[in-house]
Amino acid sequence: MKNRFFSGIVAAVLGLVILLVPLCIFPTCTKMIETASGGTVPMKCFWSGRAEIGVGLLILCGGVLLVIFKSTLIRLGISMMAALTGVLGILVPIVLIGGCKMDTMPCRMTTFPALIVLCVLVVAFSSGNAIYLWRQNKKIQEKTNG
Amino acid sequence: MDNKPLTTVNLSVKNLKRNPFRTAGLIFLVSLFAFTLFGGTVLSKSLENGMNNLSKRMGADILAVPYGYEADIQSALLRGEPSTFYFDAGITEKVKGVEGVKDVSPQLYIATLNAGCCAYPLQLIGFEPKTDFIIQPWLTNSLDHLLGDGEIVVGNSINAEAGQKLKFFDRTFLVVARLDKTGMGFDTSVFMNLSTANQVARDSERLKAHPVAENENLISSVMIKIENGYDVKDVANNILQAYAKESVHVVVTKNMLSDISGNLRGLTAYIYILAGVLWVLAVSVLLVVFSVTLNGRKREFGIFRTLGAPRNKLVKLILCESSLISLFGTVAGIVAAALVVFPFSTYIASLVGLPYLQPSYATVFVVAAMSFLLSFLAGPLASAYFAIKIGGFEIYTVMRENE
Amino acid sequence: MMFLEIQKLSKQYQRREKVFFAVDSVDLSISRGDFISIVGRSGSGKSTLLNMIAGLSTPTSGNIRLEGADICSMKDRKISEYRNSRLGYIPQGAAALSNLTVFDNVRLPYYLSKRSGDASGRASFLLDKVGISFLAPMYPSQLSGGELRRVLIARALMNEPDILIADEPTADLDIETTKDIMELFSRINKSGTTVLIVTHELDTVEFGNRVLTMSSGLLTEGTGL
Repeated sequence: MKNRFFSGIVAAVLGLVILLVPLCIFPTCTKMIETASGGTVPMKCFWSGRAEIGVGLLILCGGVLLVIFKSTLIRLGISMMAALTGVLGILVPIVLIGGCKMDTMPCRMTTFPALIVLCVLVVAFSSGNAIYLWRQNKKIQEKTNG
Repeated sequence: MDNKPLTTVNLSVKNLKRNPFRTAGLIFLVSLFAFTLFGGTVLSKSLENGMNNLSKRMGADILAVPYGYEADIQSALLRGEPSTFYFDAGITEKVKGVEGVKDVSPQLYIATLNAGCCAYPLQLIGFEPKTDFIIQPWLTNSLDHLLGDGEIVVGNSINAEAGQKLKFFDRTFLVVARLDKTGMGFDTSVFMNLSTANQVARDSERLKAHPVAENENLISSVMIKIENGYDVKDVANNILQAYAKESVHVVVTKNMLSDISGNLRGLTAYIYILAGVLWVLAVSVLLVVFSVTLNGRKREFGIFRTLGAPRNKLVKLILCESSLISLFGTVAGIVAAALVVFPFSTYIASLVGLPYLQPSYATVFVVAAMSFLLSFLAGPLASAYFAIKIGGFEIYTVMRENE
Repeated sequence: MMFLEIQKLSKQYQRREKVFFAVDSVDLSISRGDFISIVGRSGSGKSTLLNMIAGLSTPTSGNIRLEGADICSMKDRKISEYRNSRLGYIPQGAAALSNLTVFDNVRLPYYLSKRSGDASGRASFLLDKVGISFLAPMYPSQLSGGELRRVLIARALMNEPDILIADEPTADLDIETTKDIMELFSRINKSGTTVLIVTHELDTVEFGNRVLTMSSGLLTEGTGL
């Protein structure tokens, strides 16, 4: 039972921090690009940050659901999805959207490293939890069968 | 039911699990030390590496800059902070005439606000490809021709490969080469020949008046190499005597480098002292905690003895318990440090404001192994004395003490 | 040859510059299958005697022979081996390991020297025999005095010892539990194990086949109090 609260709260906190990184902890670059027509549009890294807010929100909700649900199998499923969401969080700034061209830009210097580290933690923690739950499920099955 | 055999390791794990808070506290303490040791060492090695690289790169013995901008050239070189200071281009030839000067090459610094995709102050450096001895030796790919008009060389931190095009002030430039990683300001600079740089300055007029646009005969600094057999100080004095009245000032690179390495030594010493203090702290806290808890567990060890555990079994049990604490703490600390030091290296470099170049993987590995060893030893070392002492007690007296 | 032969065994203590004998040249012979009770007031030296027999403290003079082998001159490894495989010792008080479950406490002696066999099976069998198999996954702090005493007895029997030694096994128990425990000892003795018990409660001696009295370090036959 302790594990249920612990795992849920850890996942929720990690998700919350991922959500907050692009918002206020380490914001992406704020400058706008001038287009040929004279208007301004945000840069790539801004959209990466936006996507990560979604990723963080998903993981946060996953954590809350981990606390709510008692069934080992449901929690196992949530944990697996949380781990995969963490992978998505890593892919967004590296492959899927990307950011600025220079290492010293705020997005490449602080936002992305912070997000990647947090997502690595999410992946490690959620897969660890999934393995734990999978084993527990097997134990329960053994008990009911034998 | 748990049917695992009660080996020394399993017994230790059971003991540690039954005291989760004490165990977590001790692991945290060890991890704190491992974190500082590994993170700090990588940090100071990177700074050292950056420093060595800087002195290797600085092909110039003397930098001639306009009077009053000695500090600016330093921040331009070390951190790539965009700077704007100029004097007459004729200074190059004049300085070349001074006794003891072998080679001279002018450089022109232009600060921009709009670069490619990302808006961020960027240093553009114009140089003379024919006389240059600073930039061209460090290209990652060799150039088969002198840098032509409209062609640029980018620093290592700028994500552009040779053949790609970059846009500044609405003009497109062809990237022909990229520099090696230097750990200094050159990483974020863009290099071009003097006439291209002048062109960029004219283009930037659209946004803001630029002195170089008004007067094409301006440069920012002159890189100077001296003849063998001459003393740097003498040559620098000669230049000052001849041209100080034309507002020329000199920076002797050797002095600049020794200033930086002085700072660096201070920082490195600070890191090692901190790590040393933490190690002593970790070992002594472990020593105190182990001797208090082990004293309270004398009866437990007495029971082991009455059941027929020989002395060395107790020694093994105690050492195993402390080793497990050390192991978990060390691994946690090193992993945590790695998750901070490596992803955030650019951020750290910008915070330190000194040349910062991560050492090779081999060096990092050696540092990790050394940190692991030092940190891992803390636990067994702190408990060794007690482990040996408890084995020597007379069992009967030990059994009675805690009744 | 006697099973256990004690000759001129003495233990000297020094208390405030005054030397006194806790055990004063005791002679005792025990045959296989005996059930011996030693009675005496606290401080009479009976615990000291027991601890020397268990190899937990060394005598000042005299010797103890188990089937001819002098246990007083054994090296640590040898005497540990003796304690582990031939002796089942039940110390005074709550002498269970608090970080291990009841089940682990019982099977622990098995793992303290190299041997092969089914440790878990034997531990379960012993817990059943002393009537507390339902307590196996509990920790000692959750047990009552009588239950704990049974754990210690099961643990002492783990390695099928030749002799079971108990120091005040009923000291902190009520009359009902005392009777249960003593009956348990009696059953163990009947199955062939030599039992040696030290006690200060006279009503427990009826279970033994031989009673000795300890007083000021001297051992005499009978309940000569």
